[in-house]
Order: sequence, then structure tokens, then C-alpha cells
Amino acid sequence: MSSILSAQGVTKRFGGLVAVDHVDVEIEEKSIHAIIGPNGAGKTTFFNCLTGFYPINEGKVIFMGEPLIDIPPDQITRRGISRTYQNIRLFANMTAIENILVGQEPHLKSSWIGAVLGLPNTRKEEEAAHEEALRIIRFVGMQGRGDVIAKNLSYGDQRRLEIARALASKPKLLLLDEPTAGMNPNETVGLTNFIRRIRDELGVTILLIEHDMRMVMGISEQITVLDYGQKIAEGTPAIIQSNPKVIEAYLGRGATDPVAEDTETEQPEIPAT
Amino acid sequence: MTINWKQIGQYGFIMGIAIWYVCLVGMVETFDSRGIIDGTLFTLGRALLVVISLGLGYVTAMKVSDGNFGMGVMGSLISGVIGAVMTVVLVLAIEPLNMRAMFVNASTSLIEILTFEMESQATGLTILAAFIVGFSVLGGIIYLLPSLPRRAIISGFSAVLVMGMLGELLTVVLGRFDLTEILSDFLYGRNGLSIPGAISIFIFFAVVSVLWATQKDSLQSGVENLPPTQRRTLSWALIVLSIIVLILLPQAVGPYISQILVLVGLYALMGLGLNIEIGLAGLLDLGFVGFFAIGAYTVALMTSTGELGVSGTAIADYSNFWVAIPIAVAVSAFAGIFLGIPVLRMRGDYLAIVTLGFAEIIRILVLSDFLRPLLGGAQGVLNIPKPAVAYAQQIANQLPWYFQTVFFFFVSTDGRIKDPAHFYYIIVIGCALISFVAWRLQNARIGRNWMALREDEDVAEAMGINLIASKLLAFGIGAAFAGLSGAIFAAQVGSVFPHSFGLIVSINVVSLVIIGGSGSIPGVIVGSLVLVGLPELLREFAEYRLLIYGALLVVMMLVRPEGLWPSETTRREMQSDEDIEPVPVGQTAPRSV
Amino acid sequence: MQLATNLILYIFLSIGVGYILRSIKDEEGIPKLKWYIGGIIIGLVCGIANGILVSTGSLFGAGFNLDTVLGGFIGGLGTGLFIGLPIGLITAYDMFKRFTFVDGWLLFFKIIIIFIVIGGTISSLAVPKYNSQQWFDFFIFGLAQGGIYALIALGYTLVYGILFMINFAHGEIFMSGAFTAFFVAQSLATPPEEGVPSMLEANPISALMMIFLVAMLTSTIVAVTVERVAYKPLRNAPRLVPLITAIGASFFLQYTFRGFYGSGVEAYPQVPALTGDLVIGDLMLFFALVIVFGIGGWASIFLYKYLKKMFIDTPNLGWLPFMLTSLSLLVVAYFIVPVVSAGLVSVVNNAFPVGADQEVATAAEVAVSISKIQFVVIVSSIALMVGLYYFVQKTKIGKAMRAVAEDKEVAALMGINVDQVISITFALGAALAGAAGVLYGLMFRQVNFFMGFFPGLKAFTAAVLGGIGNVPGAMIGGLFLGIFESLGPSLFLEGLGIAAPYQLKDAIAFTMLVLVLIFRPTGIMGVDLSKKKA
Repeated sequence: MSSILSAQGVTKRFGGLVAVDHVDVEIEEKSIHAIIGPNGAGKTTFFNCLTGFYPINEGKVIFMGEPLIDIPPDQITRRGISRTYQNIRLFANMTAIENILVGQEPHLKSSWIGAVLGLPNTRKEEEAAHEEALRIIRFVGMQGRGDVIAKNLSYGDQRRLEIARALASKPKLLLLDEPTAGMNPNETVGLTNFIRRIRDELGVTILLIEHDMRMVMGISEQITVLDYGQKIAEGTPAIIQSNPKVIEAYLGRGATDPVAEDTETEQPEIPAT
Repeated sequence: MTINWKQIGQYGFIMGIAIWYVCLVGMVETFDSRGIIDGTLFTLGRALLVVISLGLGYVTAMKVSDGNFGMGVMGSLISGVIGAVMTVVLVLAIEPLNMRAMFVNASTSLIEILTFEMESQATGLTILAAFIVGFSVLGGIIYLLPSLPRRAIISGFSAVLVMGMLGELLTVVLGRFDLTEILSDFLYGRNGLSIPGAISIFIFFAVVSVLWATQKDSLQSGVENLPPTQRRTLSWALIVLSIIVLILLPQAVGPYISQILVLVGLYALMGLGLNIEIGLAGLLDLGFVGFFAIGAYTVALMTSTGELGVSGTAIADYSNFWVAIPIAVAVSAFAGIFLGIPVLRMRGDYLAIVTLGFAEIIRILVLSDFLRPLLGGAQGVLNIPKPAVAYAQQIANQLPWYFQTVFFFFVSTDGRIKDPAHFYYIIVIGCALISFVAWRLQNARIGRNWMALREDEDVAEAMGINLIASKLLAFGIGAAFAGLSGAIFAAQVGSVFPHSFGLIVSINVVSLVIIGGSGSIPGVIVGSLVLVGLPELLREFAEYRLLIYGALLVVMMLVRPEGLWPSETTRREMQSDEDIEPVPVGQTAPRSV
Repeated sequence: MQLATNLILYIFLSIGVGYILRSIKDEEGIPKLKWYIGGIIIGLVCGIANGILVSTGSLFGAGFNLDTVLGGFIGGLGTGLFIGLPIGLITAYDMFKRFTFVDGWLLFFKIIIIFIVIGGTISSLAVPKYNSQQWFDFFIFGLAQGGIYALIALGYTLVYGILFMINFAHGEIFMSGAFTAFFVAQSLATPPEEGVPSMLEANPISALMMIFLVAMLTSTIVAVTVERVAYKPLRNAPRLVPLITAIGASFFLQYTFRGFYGSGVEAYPQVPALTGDLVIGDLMLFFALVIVFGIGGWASIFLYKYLKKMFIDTPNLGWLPFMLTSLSLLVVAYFIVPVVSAGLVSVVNNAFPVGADQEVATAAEVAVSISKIQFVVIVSSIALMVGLYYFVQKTKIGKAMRAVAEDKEVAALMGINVDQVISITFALGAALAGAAGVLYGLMFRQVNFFMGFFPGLKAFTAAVLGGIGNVPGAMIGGLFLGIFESLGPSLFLEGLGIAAPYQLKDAIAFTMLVLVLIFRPTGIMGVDLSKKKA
């Protein structure tokens, strides 16, 4: 197993605030890796650094052996990193199919001139893209809802559609930002299985931010814990669960009561939006 | 049952204020010169009073009647009385308060109009009051009628008003042919409709509206029940018919209306360009006129026979309108990209003001003495020749006579394109071409990317869309369309001045895109017909053209914010979340284009 | 032509050298040079190149003469450094980061602007076309004009801060106040009968107050009506919809007032008390008054408190502390003001000597002067702005306004009447616009129905320049814009040999806007509100 993405000393500052502070993360290929940490720990900022949305101040990110320095977000997506958002950000007034078609953008080659002239290549590509979109819709279990406007979909479907849109770019690495936020336990279980399926069937490496500890412990093979922008722990779920620093970060100094730890795992925090 | 005094009073008061407004702003007096029905005191000026009292009487009845006939009539009566009293007060106040010193239109002729040219003021005021109250009550009664007769009366009445208003124009147009002249002689008197004409128009439109209301459904279902082959034939027949109409239109309506159509077409071309920026990519560009100007100046400098043109230089022999057009389009597109680069990172209102700034900078530079040796300053570029069609006569000679006739619709006999009608065809072809291109782009990958960009720029970028390329393409294509419009404009007018390229043009184009329905191609055409064509028809009331235009914009946005012919996406956007029924699983909503 | 050659030299040299310097990197791919060092190197190269060009120019022009060559070189080096260093610093700052072709184009644009600004300024100042009084006049005129822009801009910014809409009709609201107040001013300026002074002559302060009141009232009524009828139903519509409504309202108002008051240009009456100039002595007297009463007033608070404590046991003498304080303040001011004033006059006279042989003179002989009307415009617009700022910051309504701007729903939950607050915001902006209208009428002395359009546009530019939605930003943006417009043509363009530079003043204003937004896409003091809503 080789590492698909390695972040080395990634640092991001906003003025005087160090949001991400020299974080090193190695992500194994075809693994499910989770990043956890209290609210404001810099998890989403770290995602934004990986996808090129924020230029990083120090350190480097190496993806499939190549450094991602000064590369704009669209190019990074083309190289195979794709993401979803904590607060769902679909193209609300477009249909589900159209959302997925936009997601396929990195693989479309036809030019606008071809579209104006109605060249057969362009038409063929569009048809193939539609086929592919329908296939993805089926894969995420949204058959028959392809023509629904994204904002009219149910909450769960919107989450699924966001993942579908990210999958449409055929990523090697999928970043999921709190995929189960706002879901009830049943839905969470469904989504957990779905994420496993993505990894197993499509061979996509998955990096996720999550607050639902039960889900994180159940699904992930490696966990990285961030607090105040720094990495405070890393390892398998079993190691993380027993790490005193992690417990302290979540519950505050002095909270070593095992009952408190238990409640924490029972009740996920309300995600900040 | 309680009487809603407050609302009745409110509407009466609004009626009074509205009448004050139209009197003091001068509309009553100016419009009075235009008769609606010949030989009566029913002029356009008084028609304003009629519309106001009728309308507010109607609204009062609507708000207070609660299904009770007597209550409705009484409401409209009382609000009519309030309106009448306020009007009478105005008439009485004009002279003692010397209102003329402030309000230029508070003149004796206004008093004369309001008092129906009666000798004694008391009689006049009594008639005036009775007039307002009467129409207010009539409005109330119309509301309380069952829906069919109500519909008939309203459409008949509006038709009389509109036909009367457009009288002068229609008599000119109808007078072009013998057969239609008879109709025009029947309908119109010297100033406005003749009395039999007015009655027949009223009856005709009333009957048509009733027929339409009752038969519409069966007609629609009839068409839907046709077999597909026949339906295809029907739609083809419609297309062919509309092409024939488009070809014959300028011949039928004469040069004046052709000129208006040319103007509409020029704005539609610009609108189609701006529609790509605003409607699809969501880039609010308030400086669109700049590209129009660039196109116009390119053609002007390349073809002018004046001193600023290329006539003295070596390339003069190769430079004509047909060469200049693609170059003008290319230059504009390039300028669009060039000016698009610095604004790539700006959003929303910042983008709007910067593009506005660019257009103003272009206009000021062109106007300045600094660039006068190149661009002619305020004098502009003159002597732009009309486009010529080479060998027009020879080609015409080869054709059979009926094609020859059609051929000379497009060019004058000396082989030049000079009449409004000739330009009309160029513009229609241009619009068709550009609409086609815009339609193809809209439905292609790039159109989808623009839509995504409009919805959420950050996410669009994260999905792999190249923001820079997509935005610059939108700027470039939009500018190219505007450049084409400018190029045709330069050739048609024969000279270009910086004053033709003010901010007002940009504002007009933005308005027509939004009013037509942002993102929709037919919407742009409808928008330019309404916002450019209609005001041109009322040219003689030039003072009030922009007033009505402004009021129209406000009312349109309040009543129909999605535009006259919205695109699917805009319609969705205008619906708030609560309005939408979630679509049940398994069913599909209509696919968007 | 020389201008173009020079410009091309700077563009090529700086970008070329910048590119070479940028490629010097260590093994890890991190640039070795800091950007400011690179900038200084580029500046030096530009300066030396310019020096060589200038000296060789004289070499080929007029035989070999070491003095000329050397002198030319040094002169060329000097100007070259002046222009080259800023260009070099900006080039290096831009190029030593991620550098795409978009950045390249922007850099190109920046270099041209810096060249025009610095080169133009150097050559304009080198040719002594204007004396310091004229520059001062330009500046004061700009400040007055900027004050008016700022007052109008506040209306845009207040509304934008709360509703995120561009109130395009705001220029017309400004016009409505100015135009309506014109009729009041006119009637106040006509003498009731022959030989009797008119109200405006006899009692200028109360007459002006009336004019201001009418203007502010009219503007407020118009604005609130427009808000109620045209904007309120569109609170939740997508943002283009209210924009179009506002454009429509703008046309409607313009032509309504044209219909009401006619299409002619009316001449605002002159206020006799405000004609003529304020020479430096008067001006310094004013400043002395401000200073002395400022310090004295602050000091007398303590005196007042002390006295009040002393007289606390004698209730029937309760009026005494205030009287005593005021009296002592007046006595002190009476003795100190002339001294301070004279001191200020002499300081100013020494700082800006009028002529070599002129001694420190009495006030009237000093040349530096300000037109009274411009002075009044500046003082009153600044006073209004400060007043507004405190209104927004300190009063309950101001706090409610800020709360609504922050989050309408939450503000409503906190018991704030959002509709009312929005109406008040419109009214406030309109009242300022009305006041600006009168100031405009007094300064430019003419009004017509179209007068709102361009000031409105400029004020909107100023609001964006300062960062739309930001109250101090609008003030600073307005003043900035006014000063640039007034100084810019003669300062930047005159020296470059551009014909009739004054025609380009609007172009300068808009260029500055574009420039500021390129450097700082959210305006001088702004936060990105447009993003916030999206």
C-alpha cells in the first residue's frame, strides 16, 4: 500500500491566526481516513488547502507523487481530488442530472465552437455524458429523480447528489466534509454503508471530516485528530479512543471521567455551519 | 357586516393623488391634443382621468365588496367622491395660490381641460366631479359583473383606447394600400376614432375576447390530439408562415415602422449578447454600450470616406462594410476579453460599477480632444457609406421577375443597402444567426458551466470548471454580439458620435434582458419589442416617454419579476422554496433546456 | 511619441528583469530573493537604462562632451529611479508569487498607471504652470465637491448595507430636494418690496435653514414613498430585480420632476453672506476658535463639575456653576483667541512664503484664500457626516440599523421592527442627499431635472471606492474622489502633454475606481458584502 496524498508541514494563516499549523498527514491508497477535532480545529480549512481553494503559506502537498504548489482548484480537481461541502452547496436551480454533468467537467473535451456548429463529436460526447450521469444517478440510488431541481430534493438526496456530483469527476481521492451532518441514525448507517461501497466498488480513497464518533470509529481505518490547527494524534480508531490528549481536546482539561467520554461518543456535536 | 372605511378612504385618496399627479406633471394637457374618439370631448388627456377613476373604482370594489354588490358599489362611489373632491380642490387652488410659479403645468389651459371647456367654472366643476364619480362607480360595477361580460368590457375598452392612441400611426400604415385605406377611413376620423369605428372596435374585441376565453381549451386540446406527423406539419407551417411574415413586414408597414424595427433589432442583438453575460453567466455588466461603440467605431474608421477614414491609404480599396463587419466583431470580442481580465475576481455590484466605469472611460476618451485626431472627438466620424452589394443589378437581371421583386426588397436598385427596410433584413438575419449561436451555446457544455458559475462560483471552480476561460468566453461572446450590433448601427446611421453611446444604452439593454426574462432568447426579443419598440411608437409624447418607461419597469418588476418570457431556470429561481411542491419519487419534472 | 517609447522601456525592462530574477531559485524550488530586494534591483536597472538613454541621446545630438553626458546620465538616472523603483517593487511583488497571464495583464495595467501618475506628476511640477494658490484652490474645490459626493454616497451605502441593493434612484432623490428647495430659495431671495432687503440678505442663517429643511424634507418624502411603493414588495427577490426597479424609479422621478418644474436650467440665488473669499486670516481665526473652544470646553467640564460640587448645598444658587463656567470660558477665549490666531497666521505665512520680500503680513495681504461658499460646503458636509456616524454608532436607532444590516431575521426576533428601520435608513440617506442638493446648488448655482444623474453616479462610485456598505468608507471614498477629480487632470496629465486634460477628469475618477478595485476588490475599507449575501 502506498500513500496517495501526503501533506507535509501544511500551514495556513489568516492574519495573525494560524488556522492550520504544520500538519503532516499521509493517506494510504484505497483507505478510509478520517479527520476529527472540535469545532474550529481547522479541519475544513485543511480541506480547503488540499483542494487549492486557499493557497498554503508553508509546507507542501504531494498527490500521487506530484507536488500541488500554486495550482488553482480546477486543475487540482482535474488531477483527481474531489470534494463535498459541510453545508450542502449544490447548484440549487439546476436539475440533479445537470449537477452531475457539471461534475463530469474534467472529462469533457468538446469546445464551444463544436457546440455552435453541432459537430458529431460534440453531440456524441454530450450523449455519453448523459448516459454516464444516469449511471451515476442509479449508483447513488436516486433513480427517477434525475430531473428534479436540486433544491426540491429531500435532504438525504441532496447529500447523495453532492457525493454523486463529486464522483462524476472520477476522483482518485474523495474529500467528504461532514457527510452525515443533520442525519438521523438510520440515515447515517445507510450513508456509512454507501461510503464503504464507494471505496470497495470504485476504488476511491476517502478522506472525511466527521463529528459522529460512532460512525467515524466504525468506518475509518486511520484517524487524524486536529486541535487548534495542530495535529495532536494519529492512528487507528482503537488508538485514538484511548489517547488522553484527544479526550482532553474534546472534553476539556481534567475531564478524564470515562462516563463523560462515553456521552461524547453517544452524542455527536452539532456541526458549525 | 362592517364597512371598511379606512380602505375606501385610502383608495379615494390614491385616486385624488393620481389625478393631481397626471395634471401637474403635464400629461393631461399634452395628451389632450390627441383625440380618442373624434368629435367628442373624449381625448387622451381625459382618458387618463377615466383610466384612473375607473381603475381605482374597480380596485375599491375588489377590496371592500366581499361578494356584496351594494357594498362594492357604495365603496367605489365613496372613493370616487373623495377623488372628485380632491380634483375640484386642485382646480380651485391653481389660481389663488399662483401654483404656476412652481408647477409649470398648472396653467389655465389645464383648468379648461378639467372643466370641459365650459363657460362657467361651476358647471364645469360639476361635470368634472360627476365624470370622476361616474367612472369610479362604473369601475366598481364592472368588477361586480360576472367574469365573461367583465372580460368583454375590459378588452373592448382597452382596445378602443389603444387603437385611438395609435390612430395616427395606423392611418399612415393602413393608408399605404387601397384596400386597407377603406378600413382606415371607416375607423378613423380627423382626430381619433370615428364614432362608428369606436363602436365596432369595441364590439369586435369584446366578442373576440369572449370567444377566446370560451374556446381556448378546446382549441388547445384539439392541437394536442393531432397525430405527431400532422403536428410536425403544423409547426413547420407556422415557421414558414412566420418567415413569410418577417419578409413582407417592412413592405407592409412602411419606412417609419421599419426604422423602429431596425432599432428594436439592434437592441435585440445587444440584448442577446448581454443575455449571455447576465442571464447565463450571472455577470452583471453595466458597461455593455462600450462594445457597441467599439464595433461602431471600427466600421466607421474602416469605411468612412471622410478624413478620419482609410480612404486615402493603401488598404482603402480592400476595405468595405463586408470586410469591416467581421473585423468589428473580432475587435469587440477582443476588447471584451481585454477588459474582462481585470474584473475576473470581482463579483456582483463591484463588477457592475467597474464595467460601467470602463464604458464611461471609453466614451470620455472618444469625446476628448486628446484622441480627436484619431477618433474625431465630439464631431464623431462622418461620411460612412452605405454598404454596397457587388453586381446587384447583374444578379437581379438573371432572376425571373417575381424573384427580382423579392431581391429588391433586400437591396435598392443601385445595389446599395440604404433604406430602413434593407437594414431590417440584415438585422433579422443577424438576430436569427445570433439567436441560433446563443441557443446552441446555452444548451452545450459551456452553457451548463456558465449556469454553474452563476449559481456558485467557488463550487463551480472546485468541480473543475476553468473560471477564467469561462468568464472570458462569456465576456468575449457577449461583446462580439454587441460589436455586430454597433457595426450595423454605424452603417445604417452613416455617422457615429460619442453621444450615441451613453450609459442610458447600457441601462436599456440590461432592462430589456431582465424584463424579457433573464436567460431566455425569445425573452430578449420580446423585451426589446416592449422596451424599445413601444416607446418609439409614442414618439410625439417624447417628454413622457421615459416617465412611462420608468413606471413600466417598476410595475413589471412588481407584477412579473421573472420577466415576460422567462427561461426555465429563472422561473425556478423566482419561486421561493415554499411555493414548490416536492416532486413525488418516481415522477419527473419537465427537463430544462 | 517619446512618452510611448519611455513607457515601453519601463514595461519591457521591469517585466523582463522581474522574470529573470524570479527564476533564481534554490534546489527546493523556493525563490532565493525577497520581493523587495528584487524590486530594488529592477528599479536600479530601469534607472540606469534611462540614464544611459538620456546621456546617449545628448551624445548623438551634440558632439562629445563629458559634462553633458555625465549630467544627462545623472538626470536620467534620477527620473528613472523615481519611476522605476515603484514599478520594480510592484512588479517583483506580483511576479514572485503565483503568476498567471491574468496577473501579467494586471501588472501591465499597473505599470502604465504608475508611469502616468509618477511621470505625469514629475513633469507637471517641473513646469511651473500653476502656483501654490492654484494648487490649493484645486484641492479645496476637490474637497468641497468630495464632501457633496460623500453625502450622497452615504445614502447608497446605508441602503446597500441593509438591503444589498443599489438604490439607483438615489441621484434623483438628491435632485428632488435641490430642485424643490430652489423655489423656496428663490422666493426668499426676492425682496418683498423695492429697497427692502430680502430674507436671504437680512437673515441668511434662518433663510438657509429653511432651504435646507425643505430640501431634506422633500428628499425624505420622495425616498420613503419610493421605498414603500417600489422596493418593499421586492425584499426577497433576486438582486437584479430591485436593481431594475430602482432604474425604473430613477427614470420615473427624473421625468416627474421635469414635468412638475419644467426642463429649464434654473439659477440658484446667490447668498450675499457667502460670496467672496475667506482669506487666510479669517480662516486661521476660525481654526483658532475651534481649537480654543475645543480645549477650553473640554477643560471647563472639570470646572463645571468642581463648581457644582461646591454649590451643592445651596440649591437657590443652582444656576451659578453653569453661568460661571461659561463666563470664564468666554473671558479666556477673548484673550487667547487673537493670540492663537496670530500665531497660526505667522506659522502659515512662514510655511508658505508668498514672496521673498514680503514680511509676515496682516491677514488681508496674504494670498492664500478659500472661497467662502466652498468653505461652508466643506464644513457643513463634514459636520453632517460626523453627525451621521455618531447617529449610527451611538443611538438606539443606529444600533437597530446595524443589527438589521447584520441579520434581518435575528434582528426581527430581537424585537426590532425591520420595516421601520429600513424606512428610517432610506429617510436618513435621503435627508443627507437633500442637504447635499442644497450645497450643490449653492456651490454650482444651477439646478435642473437632470442634475442628479452624474453626481449620483459619482457618489455611487465613491461608495464602492470606499467599500460599499461601510459608512466611513463612503465618506473617505467621496472626499478621495472629489480631490482626485479636481487635482488629477492638472497633476497627472498636464505634464504628459495631453491636450485639454480637464475633459478627462471623469476618466480619472473611473480609472481610479478600477485601480482601487483591482488592488483591493472590496474597496478601501470594505468587507465583501456581495459575497456575504451570495
